[in-house]
Amino acid sequence: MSRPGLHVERTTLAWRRTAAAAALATLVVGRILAPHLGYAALAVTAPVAAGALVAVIGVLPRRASAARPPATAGVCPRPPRPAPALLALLAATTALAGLAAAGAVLLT
Amino acid sequence: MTVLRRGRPTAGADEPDDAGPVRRPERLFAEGTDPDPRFSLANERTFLAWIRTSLALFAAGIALEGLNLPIHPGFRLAAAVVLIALGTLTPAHAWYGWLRTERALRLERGLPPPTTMAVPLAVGLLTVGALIVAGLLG
Repeated sequence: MSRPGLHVERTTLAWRRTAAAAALATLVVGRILAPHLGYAALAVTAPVAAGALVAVIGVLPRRASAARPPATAGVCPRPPRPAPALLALLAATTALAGLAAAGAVLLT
Repeated sequence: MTVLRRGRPTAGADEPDDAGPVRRPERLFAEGTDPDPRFSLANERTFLAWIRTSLALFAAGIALEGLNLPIHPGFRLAAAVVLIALGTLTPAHAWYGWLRTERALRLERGLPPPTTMAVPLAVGLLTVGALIVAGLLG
């Protein structure tokens, strides 16, 4: 049988992977664009970095939930409900970064 | 079954789901009942996987154009634009897919079929591959 605690842990790891991917994308995109665009490269890297920050914030409630022991033996605490605002913010920052990247590639 | 609610004392699972602060988007959470948390968490992980795909797509597009690879510039730019366009559309698809699946879970309906993004993504990646090959040969 699958343990609910493992699902929370998997989801926490997925948020961490996303945060790491966004942080790495910030560095890679910044490194590639900075020589061409200078400070204007921030227009692309800032939304990606914001996405990384949102993903880090997404990890926090999951970590707290995973660390909390069950109230009753044999009963798993309910994991935090999905935070649609965080998901929407992450989608918005990523889409914004994509638009900025399109602008950067077409204008340079 | 007894479960622990966030920020609330122990309560029964059959308690109305709208207890506590209003959750947004209201249109979604006004419908149905809270599904098994495992399904919601799996839905959230799928959303995150699409976001990572998006990051990879537009980072690849920027890298393709920014690294001055020995590819014909016109083909290279076209391939980069396709990659970035796919990377820009993917977050919208991720959000829409999350909403659709969460709604289906809350209403205890069958999961919606895979969204149509898979086809543009496959076609787009094939196009990028073809453009890069053409750019290398041209």
